[in-house]
Amino acid sequence: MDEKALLTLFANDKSKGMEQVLKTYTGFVFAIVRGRLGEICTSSEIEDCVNDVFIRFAESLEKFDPDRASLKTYLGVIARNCAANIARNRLSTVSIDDDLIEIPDDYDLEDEIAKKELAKTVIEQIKLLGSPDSDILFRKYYLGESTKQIAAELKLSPSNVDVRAHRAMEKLRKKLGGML
Amino acid sequence: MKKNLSEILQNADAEALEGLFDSVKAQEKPARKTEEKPKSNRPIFFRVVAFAASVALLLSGAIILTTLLTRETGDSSNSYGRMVDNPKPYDSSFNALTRRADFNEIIWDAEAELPYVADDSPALVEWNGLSLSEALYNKLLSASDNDLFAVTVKVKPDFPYTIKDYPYLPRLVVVNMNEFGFVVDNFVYSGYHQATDQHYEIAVMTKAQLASLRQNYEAPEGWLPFNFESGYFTTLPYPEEDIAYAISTYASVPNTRDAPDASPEEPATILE
Repeated sequence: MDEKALLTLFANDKSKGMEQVLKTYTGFVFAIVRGRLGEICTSSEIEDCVNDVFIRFAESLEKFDPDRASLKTYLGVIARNCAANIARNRLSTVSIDDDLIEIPDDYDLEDEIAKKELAKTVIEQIKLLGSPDSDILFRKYYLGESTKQIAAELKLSPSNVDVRAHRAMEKLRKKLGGML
Repeated sequence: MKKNLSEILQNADAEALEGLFDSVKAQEKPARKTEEKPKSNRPIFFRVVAFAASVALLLSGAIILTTLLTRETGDSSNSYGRMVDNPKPYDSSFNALTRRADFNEIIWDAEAELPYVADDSPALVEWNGLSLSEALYNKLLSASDNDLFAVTVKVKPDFPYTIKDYPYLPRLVVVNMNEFGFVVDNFVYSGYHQATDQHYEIAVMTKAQLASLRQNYEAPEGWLPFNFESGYFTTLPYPEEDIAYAISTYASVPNTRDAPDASPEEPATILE
């Protein structure tokens, strides 16, 4: 069932619509949650997180605008955020210099709109890097996957993933340097 | 100001992220287990330094040689050939240096980024079965048997990482007999050099081990040639104080391994 049909079903019968969403996207949501939490949570905890994702989705469905993003992406964002919240509570994240992007000092990062615009600008440049570099940066810095996981998913060697991530960050910094 | 990329991206909305989830493939959820212990915390961001027990290389360029102090251990063999001596040095001084945050800046030299060895390379000196530049040969003559050489090799990033993954690698490595192509089972460090944008493997071995390197390696299809062309050798500028520190801290560590005889008085043959 394509997204348009699914959304129509949702509009007519929420229960059946939700059933179809679960059928279509559980594996996808599980992949994102497991990618983030696989090494720090039990499978029960991961499953609970997956369930939370769909609960949040159902609760926020009125906010979903199909003209702005696909249902898959919308669910992906919820999944990522749910997993990230759990991870944040479990771990202390160590930032390393290789992950840093220079932004102008006068950028108002307290402003929600400015933060979204900055993210959008950065993501546009990440997309322009093309596969697999864009996939690596997305998985590493947004989904929070480990090198090992990324390598397995993208069928690359772990060292290749590290090298590509490093180079991609360099290219990204250069591109963003003149834009921000 | 600098911001972590993760922090920046977490503010992205779904519209901006459209398309990026396409590479995420659905996974099968496993059956629920009845009892599980919570897993322990582990840092999720870490810098990986790989210490490969055996590494397969395709050399598309130069080998850079520099000297350190060390001690060595161990023999091993692999299914691709017999390595009588597997020079996996247990070198506390070298390992101490690799733990420094600025190790990459110490050991790598941007000037060493050099092209392929040309077919019309200048005359080389043969030493223990290795073809060396005269400059390197002279360096080796003046080195003691316990001096450690760090042989750094540029690696194509897309090339298979370990020999275990690709059993036919020795055949794949030597695509051109005039290129560098050897499989060495003694690399202990791999790293990425930012300035040259290259991935390197580094083998640490004593002069004695270097001397026995070729004779102890047998590829399934015969010898793989070495060709250390003179223009590609650079002595990397280790800071004086680091070498002095390594010497003062580790020079007293005994060398417990019996090294093969690597006599510096062996006659050199000039290859035409």
